[in-house]
Amino acid sequence: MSADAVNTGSRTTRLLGAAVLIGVLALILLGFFGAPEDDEQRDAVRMIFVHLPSAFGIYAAMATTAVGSVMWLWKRSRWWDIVAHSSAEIGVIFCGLTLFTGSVWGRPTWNTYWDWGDVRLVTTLILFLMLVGYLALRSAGGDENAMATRAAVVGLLAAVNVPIINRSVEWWSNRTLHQKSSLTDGNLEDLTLFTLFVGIVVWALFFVWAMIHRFRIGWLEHQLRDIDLETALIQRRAEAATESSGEESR
Amino acid sequence: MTHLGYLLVGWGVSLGCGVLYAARLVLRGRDLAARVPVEHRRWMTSDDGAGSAAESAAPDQGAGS
Amino acid sequence: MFADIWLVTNKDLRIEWRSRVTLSQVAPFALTVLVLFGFALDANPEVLTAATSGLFWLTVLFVAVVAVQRSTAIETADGARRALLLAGIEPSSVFVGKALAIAVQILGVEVLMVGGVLLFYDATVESLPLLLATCAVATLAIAASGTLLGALVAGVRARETVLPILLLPLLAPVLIAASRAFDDALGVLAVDGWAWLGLLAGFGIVNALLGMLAYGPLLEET
Repeated sequence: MSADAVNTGSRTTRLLGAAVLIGVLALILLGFFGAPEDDEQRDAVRMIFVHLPSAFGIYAAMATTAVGSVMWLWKRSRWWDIVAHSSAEIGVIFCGLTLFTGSVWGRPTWNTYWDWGDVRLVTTLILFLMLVGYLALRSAGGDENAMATRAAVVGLLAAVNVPIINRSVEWWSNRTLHQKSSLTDGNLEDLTLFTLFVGIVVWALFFVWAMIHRFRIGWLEHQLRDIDLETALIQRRAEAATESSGEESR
Repeated sequence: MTHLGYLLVGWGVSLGCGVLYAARLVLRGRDLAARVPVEHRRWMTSDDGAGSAAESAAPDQGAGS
Repeated sequence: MFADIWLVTNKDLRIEWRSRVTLSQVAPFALTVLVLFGFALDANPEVLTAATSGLFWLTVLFVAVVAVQRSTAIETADGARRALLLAGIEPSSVFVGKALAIAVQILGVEVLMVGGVLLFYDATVESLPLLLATCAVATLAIAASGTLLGALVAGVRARETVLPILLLPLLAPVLIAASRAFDDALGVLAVDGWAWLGLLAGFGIVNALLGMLAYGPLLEET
């Protein structure tokens, strides 16, 4: 709240956090007791309420990272650079969760944890590996501006190649276990659809909450680097001053 | 309820990951905020006003200070 | 522009020829990997035939990582990158030139590897034009994305480990598409190899364009 608060929270994040907590409770109640079971999948269908929001989260995070990367390359705006980094980190988590819940869901419904023939599964895995590479590059350290440019190029590479990867895997497998589109085929019950909607909203709120906190962490890290640089400069100047006072300079 | 084990694992890991990541973010934020002087934490100063945190964390130009 | 590209390609290839690293280390490495795959699959002729295309292109990806690392090392040593920039050559020309040099080296290794595959894996060529076209297009696509990532990791401390993590997932579509095109060319699978070639070309063009655009900013930063 106040300027001397020693954390990255604020009134907005607290409100968001409370909304997420309430939303999760509502989602558990709706998901397990509200929504009806599926004719074919029985209760296994309840996995969709955590699986699909995570998958949507990947899209949101990838889009944010791509926009942030472009804005860094275009405007050299540190703000966008931190946004790109933050959303990539959250995107990795969404991606991992999508893969995990997907395979746990796949076991009872498709009779397998993993299927190499499924387009979205394999595409998501490759995207996951790319995002891990992105974060590995980010963690390598070095000059801040150079790293921002490198990361931005990798972020764009990943975003641009997603359609190509998707297409290649689609041709490769030529068969898919996934429902064509869970949302539009009209087979879902009303309450199931509503629960799904609640899940997506909760995940979106969490995404915003995490983005704000993660952005502030990135900003603080940036400030710390600046401060370190300043103190180092001051120290160097002090050293130079004592040296030159002892002997004649120039 | 059928497939309860699968459901609990899927939901548990999803929500658990969220909680763990959230905790990590908050703790890391506290640690870093304690190390940065007040005048460098500028989005927090504007937070008492009506503007949302996202807006106050979004100056036109991030670089500089 | 073409003169500049030729200049850079020529320079890289001449350095490579003088050191003979590709010839004396990378090519034997590639053949060793092919032989080791034979051991791993217990020299089972049926499995080997079915897996030939995939193993071939997987080996090419490993070769590409080594070739890109070499090419990056040439530029980072003695601040040669700065000198190239100061010489007034367009960054996009440097990019194309270096990509072509890498492509030539990988193609050279591929020629040897095709021989190795015919010899060790008992493969037969059904469509030579498709085989050659796949090699050419896939290699250019690999070289383009490899050169871009090579420049990208040049200033990174742990670049030997970061490069494969970034490059290999990116090249996944190349592995898939080139392997299927080879399946057709070697008569292993009845697929439309030329359609896969189109996908390879699309990948190559997209990543080459991105590379030409991004190479300048990357060179300036490091």
